[in-house]
Amino acid sequence: MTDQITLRGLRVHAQPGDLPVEAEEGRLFVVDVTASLWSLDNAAQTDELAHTLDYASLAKRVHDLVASERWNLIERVAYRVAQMVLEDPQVLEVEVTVHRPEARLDVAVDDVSVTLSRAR
Amino acid sequence: MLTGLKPRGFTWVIASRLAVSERIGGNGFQHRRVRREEEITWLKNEAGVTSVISLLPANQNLSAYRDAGLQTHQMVVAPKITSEDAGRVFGLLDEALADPTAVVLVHREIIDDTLAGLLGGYLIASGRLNDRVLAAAVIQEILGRPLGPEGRALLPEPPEG
Repeated sequence: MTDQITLRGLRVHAQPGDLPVEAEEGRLFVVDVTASLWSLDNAAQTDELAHTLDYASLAKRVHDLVASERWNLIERVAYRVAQMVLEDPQVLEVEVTVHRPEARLDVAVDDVSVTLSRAR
Repeated sequence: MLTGLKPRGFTWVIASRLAVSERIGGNGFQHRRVRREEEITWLKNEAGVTSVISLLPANQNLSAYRDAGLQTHQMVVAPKITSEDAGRVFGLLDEALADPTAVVLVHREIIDDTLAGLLGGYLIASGRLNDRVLAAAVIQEILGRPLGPEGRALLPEPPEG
Protein backbone atom coordinates (compact mmCIF):
# COMPACT_ATOMS: atom_id res chain seq x y z
CA MET A 1 0.00 0.00 0.00
CA THR A 2 1.34 3.41 -0.92
CA ASP A 3 0.54 6.97 0.02
CA GLN A 4 -0.62 9.49 -2.53
CA ILE A 5 -0.47 13.18 -3.30
CA THR A 6 -2.97 14.51 -5.84
CA LEU A 7 -3.21 17.70 -7.87
CA ARG A 8 -6.58 18.13 -9.48
CA GLY A 9 -7.68 20.76 -11.97
CA LEU A 10 -4.31 22.38 -12.74
CA ARG A 11 -5.20 24.86 -15.47
CA VAL A 12 -2.68 25.64 -18.20
CA HIS A 13 -3.07 27.90 -21.20
CA ALA A 14 -0.91 26.13 -23.76
CA GLN A 15 -0.23 26.26 -27.47
CA PRO A 16 -0.48 22.83 -29.08
CA GLY A 17 0.80 22.47 -32.60
CA ASP A 18 -1.92 20.42 -34.28
CA LEU A 19 -4.10 23.28 -35.56
CA PRO A 20 -2.70 26.63 -36.70
CA VAL A 21 -5.36 28.61 -34.87
CA GLU A 22 -4.63 26.79 -31.60
CA ALA A 23 -0.90 27.18 -32.06
CA GLU A 24 -1.45 30.91 -32.40
CA GLU A 25 -4.12 31.57 -29.79
CA GLY A 26 -3.54 28.74 -27.35
CA ARG A 27 -6.13 26.67 -25.55
CA LEU A 28 -7.05 25.73 -22.01
CA PHE A 29 -5.86 22.37 -20.74
CA VAL A 30 -6.57 20.93 -17.31
CA VAL A 31 -4.22 18.43 -15.71
CA ASP A 32 -4.78 16.00 -12.83
CA VAL A 33 -1.79 14.24 -11.29
CA THR A 34 -1.82 11.53 -8.63
CA ALA A 35 1.63 10.56 -7.40
CA SER A 36 1.97 7.41 -5.32
CA LEU A 37 4.91 7.70 -2.95
CA TRP A 38 6.90 5.15 -1.04
CA SER A 39 5.65 6.52 2.26
CA LEU A 40 4.50 9.77 3.84
CA ASP A 41 5.24 8.48 7.35
CA ASN A 42 8.28 10.73 7.81
CA ALA A 43 6.36 13.84 6.79
CA ALA A 44 3.36 12.86 8.92
CA GLN A 45 5.55 12.33 11.97
CA THR A 46 7.92 15.29 11.61
CA ASP A 47 5.55 17.84 10.03
CA GLU A 48 8.51 18.92 7.84
CA LEU A 49 8.02 19.95 4.20
CA ALA A 50 11.48 18.57 3.40
CA HIS A 51 10.16 15.07 4.14
CA THR A 52 7.55 14.99 1.42
CA LEU A 53 6.86 15.83 -2.19
CA ASP A 54 6.35 19.59 -2.32
CA TYR A 55 3.05 19.91 -4.19
CA ALA A 56 3.53 23.63 -4.80
CA SER A 57 6.77 22.88 -6.61
CA LEU A 58 5.17 19.94 -8.41
CA ALA A 59 2.29 22.09 -9.65
CA LYS A 60 4.70 24.73 -10.94
CA ARG A 61 6.83 22.17 -12.76
CA VAL A 62 3.81 20.51 -14.37
CA HIS A 63 2.42 23.89 -15.41
CA ASP A 64 5.73 25.04 -16.90
CA LEU A 65 6.28 21.79 -18.78
CA VAL A 66 2.80 21.79 -20.36
CA ALA A 67 3.03 25.48 -21.22
CA SER A 68 6.55 25.44 -22.63
CA GLU A 69 6.79 22.30 -24.73
CA ARG A 70 5.43 21.92 -28.25
CA TRP A 71 3.14 18.96 -28.86
CA ASN A 72 0.19 17.85 -30.96
CA LEU A 73 -1.62 15.30 -28.79
CA ILE A 74 -2.73 15.33 -25.17
CA GLU A 75 -1.38 11.76 -25.05
CA ARG A 76 2.07 13.28 -25.51
CA VAL A 77 1.48 15.83 -22.74
CA ALA A 78 0.32 13.15 -20.33
CA TYR A 79 3.37 11.05 -21.14
CA ARG A 80 5.81 13.92 -20.62
CA VAL A 81 4.19 14.90 -17.32
CA ALA A 82 4.32 11.28 -16.13
CA GLN A 83 8.00 11.05 -17.11
CA MET A 84 8.82 14.22 -15.21
CA VAL A 85 6.92 13.25 -12.05
CA LEU A 86 8.49 9.78 -12.03
CA GLU A 87 11.96 11.32 -12.07
CA ASP A 88 11.34 12.33 -8.48
CA PRO A 89 12.89 9.45 -6.50
CA GLN A 90 10.07 9.58 -3.95
CA VAL A 91 7.49 8.63 -6.56
CA LEU A 92 6.61 5.00 -7.14
CA GLU A 93 3.72 5.39 -9.59
CA VAL A 94 1.92 8.25 -11.27
CA GLU A 95 -1.43 8.71 -12.95
CA VAL A 96 -1.86 11.73 -15.20
CA THR A 97 -5.09 12.91 -16.80
CA VAL A 98 -5.02 15.72 -19.33
CA HIS A 99 -8.39 17.30 -20.13
CA ARG A 100 -9.09 19.35 -23.21
CA PRO A 101 -12.41 21.06 -22.40
CA GLU A 102 -12.19 23.33 -25.45
CA ALA A 103 -11.68 20.52 -27.95
CA ARG A 104 -13.26 21.39 -31.31
CA LEU A 105 -15.53 18.55 -32.34
CA ASP A 106 -18.50 18.21 -34.67
CA VAL A 107 -20.71 17.31 -31.74
CA ALA A 108 -21.13 18.86 -28.31
CA VAL A 109 -19.04 17.39 -25.50
CA ASP A 110 -18.16 18.76 -22.10
CA ASP A 111 -14.67 17.41 -21.98
CA VAL A 112 -12.14 15.14 -23.69
CA SER A 113 -9.36 13.60 -21.65
CA VAL A 114 -6.54 11.11 -21.73
CA THR A 115 -5.38 9.21 -18.66
CA LEU A 116 -2.02 7.52 -18.49
CA SER A 117 -0.49 5.50 -15.64
CA ARG A 118 3.19 4.72 -15.30
CA ALA A 119 5.36 3.09 -12.64
CA ARG A 120 9.08 3.53 -12.01
CA MET B 1 20.63 -15.51 -30.89
CA LEU B 2 21.02 -13.34 -27.83
CA THR B 3 17.73 -12.37 -26.23
CA GLY B 4 19.06 -10.36 -23.38
CA LEU B 5 19.21 -10.96 -19.67
CA LYS B 6 18.35 -8.49 -16.94
CA PRO B 7 21.46 -7.80 -14.83
CA ARG B 8 21.25 -8.94 -11.25
CA GLY B 9 19.95 -6.27 -8.91
CA PHE B 10 18.96 -3.94 -11.76
CA THR B 11 16.89 -1.12 -10.23
CA TRP B 12 15.92 2.36 -11.36
CA VAL B 13 17.13 4.98 -8.88
CA ILE B 14 15.83 7.86 -11.01
CA ALA B 15 13.17 6.48 -13.34
CA SER B 16 14.43 5.98 -16.90
CA ARG B 17 17.57 8.05 -16.17
CA LEU B 18 19.79 6.40 -13.55
CA ALA B 19 19.92 2.71 -12.73
CA VAL B 20 22.09 0.49 -10.58
CA SER B 21 22.99 -3.18 -10.81
CA GLU B 22 25.57 -5.69 -9.72
CA ARG B 23 28.61 -6.14 -11.94
CA ILE B 24 27.61 -7.10 -15.49
CA GLY B 25 28.38 -10.74 -16.19
CA GLY B 26 28.65 -11.65 -12.54
CA ASN B 27 31.61 -11.11 -10.28
CA GLY B 28 34.71 -13.09 -9.46
CA PHE B 29 34.78 -16.73 -10.55
CA GLN B 30 31.10 -16.50 -11.51
CA HIS B 31 31.84 -14.05 -14.33
CA ARG B 32 30.68 -15.39 -17.69
CA ARG B 33 31.30 -13.75 -21.06
CA VAL B 34 28.03 -14.96 -22.61
CA ARG B 35 26.06 -13.74 -19.61
CA ARG B 36 27.84 -10.39 -19.89
CA GLU B 37 26.88 -10.06 -23.55
CA GLU B 38 23.27 -10.96 -22.85
CA GLU B 39 23.11 -8.45 -20.03
CA ILE B 40 24.58 -5.70 -22.21
CA THR B 41 22.00 -6.54 -24.88
CA TRP B 42 19.23 -6.22 -22.30
CA LEU B 43 20.61 -2.95 -20.98
CA LYS B 44 20.64 -1.42 -24.45
CA ASN B 45 17.43 -2.83 -25.87
CA GLU B 46 15.15 -3.06 -22.86
CA ALA B 47 16.37 -0.36 -20.50
CA GLY B 48 17.71 2.05 -23.13
CA VAL B 49 21.00 2.48 -21.28
CA THR B 50 23.46 4.73 -23.14
CA SER B 51 26.25 5.07 -20.60
CA VAL B 52 27.87 2.93 -17.91
CA ILE B 53 29.73 4.14 -14.84
CA SER B 54 31.93 1.45 -13.36
CA LEU B 55 33.11 1.81 -9.78
CA LEU B 56 35.19 -1.36 -10.02
CA PRO B 57 38.87 -1.21 -9.08
CA ALA B 58 40.02 -2.23 -12.57
CA ASN B 59 38.78 -1.75 -16.10
CA GLN B 60 36.77 -4.99 -16.30
CA ASN B 61 34.07 -4.96 -18.98
CA LEU B 62 34.83 -1.44 -20.21
CA SER B 63 35.92 -2.58 -23.68
CA ALA B 64 32.82 -4.78 -23.96
CA TYR B 65 30.61 -1.75 -23.15
CA ARG B 66 32.42 0.37 -25.74
CA ASP B 67 32.17 -2.37 -28.36
CA ALA B 68 28.41 -2.34 -27.73
CA GLY B 69 28.30 1.40 -28.39
CA LEU B 70 27.90 2.49 -24.78
CA GLN B 71 29.75 5.42 -23.27
CA THR B 72 31.95 4.40 -20.37
CA HIS B 73 33.20 6.10 -17.25
CA GLN B 74 35.30 4.55 -14.54
CA MET B 75 36.14 5.71 -11.06
CA VAL B 76 38.01 3.59 -8.57
CA VAL B 77 36.25 3.71 -5.22
CA ALA B 78 38.38 2.63 -2.28
CA PRO B 79 36.87 0.25 0.26
CA LYS B 80 37.03 3.05 2.86
CA ILE B 81 35.44 5.80 0.81
CA THR B 82 35.79 9.41 1.92
CA SER B 83 33.34 12.26 1.43
CA GLU B 84 35.82 13.71 -1.09
CA ASP B 85 35.62 10.48 -3.10
CA ALA B 86 31.83 10.66 -2.86
CA GLY B 87 31.92 14.20 -4.20
CA ARG B 88 33.94 12.98 -7.19
CA VAL B 89 31.36 10.28 -7.87
CA PHE B 90 28.53 12.84 -7.67
CA GLY B 91 30.41 14.99 -10.17
CA LEU B 92 30.82 12.05 -12.51
CA LEU B 93 27.09 11.25 -12.26
CA ASP B 94 26.27 14.90 -13.00
CA GLU B 95 28.53 14.78 -16.03
CA ALA B 96 27.03 11.53 -17.33
CA LEU B 97 23.46 12.79 -16.83
CA ALA B 98 24.07 16.25 -18.28
CA ASP B 99 22.71 15.11 -21.63
CA PRO B 100 18.93 14.97 -21.04
CA THR B 101 18.67 11.90 -23.28
CA ALA B 102 21.35 9.95 -21.37
CA VAL B 103 20.33 6.81 -19.51
CA VAL B 104 23.05 5.82 -17.08
CA LEU B 105 23.84 2.57 -15.31
CA VAL B 106 26.20 2.62 -12.33
CA HIS B 107 27.61 -0.56 -10.91
CA ARG B 108 30.11 -2.02 -8.52
CA GLU B 109 30.74 -5.73 -7.83
CA ILE B 110 27.56 -5.86 -5.76
CA ILE B 111 25.08 -3.32 -4.43
CA ASP B 112 26.67 -2.80 -1.05
CA ASP B 113 26.23 -0.18 1.65
CA THR B 114 28.77 2.12 0.01
CA LEU B 115 27.01 2.08 -3.35
CA ALA B 116 23.63 2.58 -1.66
CA GLY B 117 25.04 5.54 0.28
CA LEU B 118 26.53 7.05 -2.88
CA LEU B 119 23.21 6.81 -4.70
CA GLY B 120 21.28 8.22 -1.75
CA GLY B 121 23.89 10.95 -1.51
CA TYR B 122 23.49 11.77 -5.17
CA LEU B 123 19.75 12.31 -4.69
CA ILE B 124 20.74 15.16 -2.34
CA ALA B 125 23.77 16.38 -4.29
CA SER B 126 21.72 16.61 -7.49
CA GLY B 127 19.00 18.62 -5.72
CA ARG B 128 16.32 15.93 -6.12
CA LEU B 129 15.93 15.61 -2.35
CA ASN B 130 16.87 18.12 0.31
CA ASP B 131 16.92 16.10 3.49
CA ARG B 132 19.26 13.33 4.70
CA VAL B 133 16.53 11.45 6.58
CA LEU B 134 14.30 11.41 3.51
CA ALA B 135 17.20 10.44 1.23
CA ALA B 136 18.02 7.50 3.51
CA ALA B 137 14.38 6.39 3.61
CA VAL B 138 13.93 6.72 -0.16
CA ILE B 139 17.10 4.88 -1.16
CA GLN B 140 16.24 2.07 1.28
CA GLU B 141 12.83 1.71 -0.38
CA ILE B 142 14.27 1.87 -3.89
CA LEU B 143 17.00 -0.70 -3.26
CA GLY B 144 15.00 -2.83 -0.83
CA ARG B 145 17.83 -2.92 1.68
CA PRO B 146 18.65 -1.08 4.90
CA LEU B 147 21.23 1.68 4.76
CA GLY B 148 23.99 1.11 7.32
CA PRO B 149 26.26 3.63 9.03
CA GLU B 150 28.86 3.59 6.21
CA GLY B 151 26.21 4.40 3.64
CA ARG B 152 24.59 7.07 5.80
CA ALA B 153 27.97 8.76 6.23
CA LEU B 154 28.01 9.40 2.48
CA LEU B 155 24.80 11.43 2.53
CA PRO B 156 25.86 15.08 2.23
CA GLU B 157 24.19 17.92 4.05
CA PRO B 158 21.77 19.60 1.66
CA PRO B 159 22.76 23.08 0.54
CA GLU B 160 21.29 25.95 2.57
CA GLY B 161 18.13 27.56 1.28
